Amino acid sequence: MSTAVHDHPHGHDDHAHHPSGLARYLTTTNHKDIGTMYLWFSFAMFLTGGVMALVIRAELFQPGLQVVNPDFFNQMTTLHGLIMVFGAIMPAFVGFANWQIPMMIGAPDMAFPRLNNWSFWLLPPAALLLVTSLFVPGGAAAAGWTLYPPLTVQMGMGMDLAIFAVHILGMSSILGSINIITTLLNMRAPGMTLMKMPLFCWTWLITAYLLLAAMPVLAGAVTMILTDRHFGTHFFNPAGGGDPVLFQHIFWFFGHPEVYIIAIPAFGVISQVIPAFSRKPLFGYTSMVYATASIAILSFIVWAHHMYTTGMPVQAQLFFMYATSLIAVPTGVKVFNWVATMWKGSLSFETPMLFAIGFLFLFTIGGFTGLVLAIVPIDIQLHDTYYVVAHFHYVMVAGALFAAFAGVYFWIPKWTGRMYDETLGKWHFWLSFIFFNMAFFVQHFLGLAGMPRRIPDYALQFADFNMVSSIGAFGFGLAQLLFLYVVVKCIRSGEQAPAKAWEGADTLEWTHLPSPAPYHSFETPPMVK
Amino acid sequence: MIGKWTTGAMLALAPALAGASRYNLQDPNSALGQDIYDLHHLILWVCVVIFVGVFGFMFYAILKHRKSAGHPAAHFHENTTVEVIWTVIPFVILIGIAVPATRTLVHQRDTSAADLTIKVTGYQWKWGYDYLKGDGEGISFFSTLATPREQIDGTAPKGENYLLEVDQPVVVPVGKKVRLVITAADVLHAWWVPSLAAKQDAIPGFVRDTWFKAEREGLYRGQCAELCGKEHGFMPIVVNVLSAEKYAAWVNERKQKPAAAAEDANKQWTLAELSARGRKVFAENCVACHQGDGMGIPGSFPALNGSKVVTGSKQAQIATVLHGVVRDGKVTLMQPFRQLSDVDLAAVLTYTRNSWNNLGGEAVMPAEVAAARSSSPQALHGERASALRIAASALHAAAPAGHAGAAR
Amino acid sequence: MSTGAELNKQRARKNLRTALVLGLLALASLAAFAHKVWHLG
Ligand code: HEC
Ligand SMILES: [Cu+2]
Ligand SMILES: [Cu+2]
Repeated sequence: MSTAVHDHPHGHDDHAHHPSGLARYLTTTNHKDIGTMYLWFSFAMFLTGGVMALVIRAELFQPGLQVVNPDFFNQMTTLHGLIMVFGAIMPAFVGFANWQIPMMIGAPDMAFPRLNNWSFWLLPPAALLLVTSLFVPGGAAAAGWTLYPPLTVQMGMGMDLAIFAVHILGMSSILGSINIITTLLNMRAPGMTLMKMPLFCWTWLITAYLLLAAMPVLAGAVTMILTDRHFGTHFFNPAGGGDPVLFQHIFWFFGHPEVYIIAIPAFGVISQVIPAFSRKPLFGYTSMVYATASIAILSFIVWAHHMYTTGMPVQAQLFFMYATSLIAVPTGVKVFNWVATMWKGSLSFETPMLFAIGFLFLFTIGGFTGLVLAIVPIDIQLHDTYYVVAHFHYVMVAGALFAAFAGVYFWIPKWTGRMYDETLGKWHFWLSFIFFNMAFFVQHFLGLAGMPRRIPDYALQFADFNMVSSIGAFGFGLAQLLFLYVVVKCIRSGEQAPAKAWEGADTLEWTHLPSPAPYHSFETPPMVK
Repeated sequence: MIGKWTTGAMLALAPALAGASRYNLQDPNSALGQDIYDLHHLILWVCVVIFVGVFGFMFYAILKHRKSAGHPAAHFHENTTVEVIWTVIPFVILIGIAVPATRTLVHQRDTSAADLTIKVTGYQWKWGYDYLKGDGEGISFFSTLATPREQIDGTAPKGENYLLEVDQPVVVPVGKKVRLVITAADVLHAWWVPSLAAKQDAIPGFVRDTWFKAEREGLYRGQCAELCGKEHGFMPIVVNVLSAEKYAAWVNERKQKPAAAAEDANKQWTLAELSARGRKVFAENCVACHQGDGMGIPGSFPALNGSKVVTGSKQAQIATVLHGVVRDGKVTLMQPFRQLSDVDLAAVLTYTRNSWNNLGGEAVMPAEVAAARSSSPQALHGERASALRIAASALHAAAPAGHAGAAR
Repeated sequence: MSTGAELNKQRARKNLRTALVLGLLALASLAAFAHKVWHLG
């Protein structure tokens, strides 16, 4: 998204000899280039995972098996999950971090620019492993993105490729986190105390710590599956004294923080966008920081709410139910703060704000269904049904993805120096909003009425809602092509954007840098009062 | 279509109006199910009220505090009082929810004092039921999908209970507490019947338990709720709740079954009779993997059409299906089919020997299967008995605590 | 106040120290995990 930076002259000729074309991107250590690559990579993965989702929804359009066989269907659900979580959403927010963090704290670049290059270039091979696993004998892993054994032990070599992909992705995340934390702790402009950082930076600081703690656990868990598969260990094999449920504990010890690894940077973006378009400072900055930190800490003691039906002791269920419900408190604080920020503001509704409001509205629905699912007796009814599918898509798509869209529309003038087409942007929002709800709202009903998830065919009473959902999914998918068009059009022929593209935006990148931001910015740090 | 969608959305906003179960949990058929149903309503309403309140504020701001309406921006960005209020109030609401939730949960997990105990075993891809304790003790059978493949492939119209019908439902008496001890033979499964509010993962190597007490007679349907491989969507559960008398009659009838089977075994079968019966057995037990045309799925399941094992020596063919295929010390997906009767096994073997391009013209007789079975080290009775022993020891481990314990 | 280049030099050492600590943190997480699994298994 930064082709425009090419023609921007920059004063530091010692850096001017960077190669052009592909070599430039292979060797670049510039946070803006790397941010751009992260974002495009994530969009490519988003389309790949999206096509898989559409295969799923095409098969589920009607009862009966029409499009794919059950085994391929399971491969699709598995890869869709892995690709969207690790390939699309997480890299998107790392892309934001790369572009924005140095500019927002007045640093010249990330703390470790070469490490940064390496973190990014680990991703494409991992993605390649996942996608090519479709073509190996036996096909891709078909055990669900949660990779529960013993099913994972039955899989063909597609499973091994998926495990390696997860290893590589995990490595990339850990390196990226080290880089982000170091940057935020050491590279802030003089005068910018931690409590003066824009909230987006705060959310990434917290997220990076979550990644550091959670990713090694995931790597360990999938390695144990690998050794169970090939090296005769019996961690999860009951015949050898192992315990399949142990894997679930380990996986979700990573998996629940993972949910917040995805959600917290989204909170950060929203916390920049809403004040900007309310023309009013963020309400409750301090409580936002504390709420985010408490969500992060709580996220490590709630993992077993994904495992209520494994039959753990009732005392454990009670503990996890109480702890999980407790997360509603800081999450509520955040929602109240955002609404209070809008209250008595001077609101305008450009596309970033529309996506932010869409986020607020739909993420809250996802939060409420999360509370419903936290309650053990209800969850025992709803676990592994479409209600859960609806719940986490409200959190992941209407939450994280909408926030990412808000962020792209918000910052693209700074990145490219050009304005996107506001009318088309609004179309993109409304189409996404309507089709998203069409695809996923009805899934609540399917789950309540008893439709399990991860099935390629279903009983007749689920037929009409599935059809609605499939139509919604295809509409949502098509709407994203419009997004691609808007972005390309903006880069190619958008109107010149002013340095401060949004009236209410007040962070350093808007107040101290021209649009587009020069290739090297803040080589001499600004003073922050 | 769109009409249905709008009604759906409308009813979602007013859940109390949604009497029909298509927008809500299925109508409960147990007191516990009713508790859960009510608990869900309570929480849903709490959420709806908060949601409307919060977004009422937001939409008011969107309407009145917009720049285009000339509203100037205020500058406040803190207010300790409201911040404390909106931290404390949700906390109090949560406690209000936790109390009934805890009560229901403790009730739900109390599996003691059951009238009938049934062991449930998940297999890829069928359910096994062994009646362990109470009326009907000793009854044991498998339950598989009864929907014909043609309906799934769309070459025949779909029946009313498409994918939710089985050859043999679990039969239980009405108004009695039924405890299920649940395990699995291969991978994870989950036994779930929504209207009975019973869902429990089936975990290989471990025994967990749950219970239900049906209040009304009738057929209640559910599905496997944990991804267990290719046919995960095709292993339904049907519970047939009978009155006390009908249940007793059913138990009686089941006890006669072995006699009937013995009669079958002594009968003189012709190749045509066996093959006709074998086609049914094949459709119920083998098509999922080896496919109706006997061609299997390349790379995963071998073709039986033209297979050397199927057309070769009878001994080897019998052994393959009776004991399953073991490779590198691990049972492959080709599991033992010891649970089938001698006649059914002979029938399916005969059918596969004489179908598609396999035209051997030879029948496998029940007596040959019986001979292979009794000469094998792991005879049926031994295995069943040990399975029962495991389950019984789990009963002791789990019962006093009132919740599930592992069987190790 | 130092210029940008000087500031960056000063930062480089500090950055390495921070990264070291963070790397150890990730390792600690892995070690804690391995320890836990060892005792469960
Ligand atoms: C869950 C899937 C599954 C089901 C159900 C199943 N099979 Fe198999 N079958 C397999 C697999 C996999 C193999 C190959 C095992 C190996 O050699 O590794 C196999 C192999 C065989 C073979 C040996 C074929 C050869 O050429 O090597 C025969 C015979 C056979 N099955 C018969 C049956 C019969 C009869 C039934 C029904 C009673 C049945 N199978 C049900 C999966 C299945
Ligand atoms: Cu969770
Ligand atoms: Cu299943």
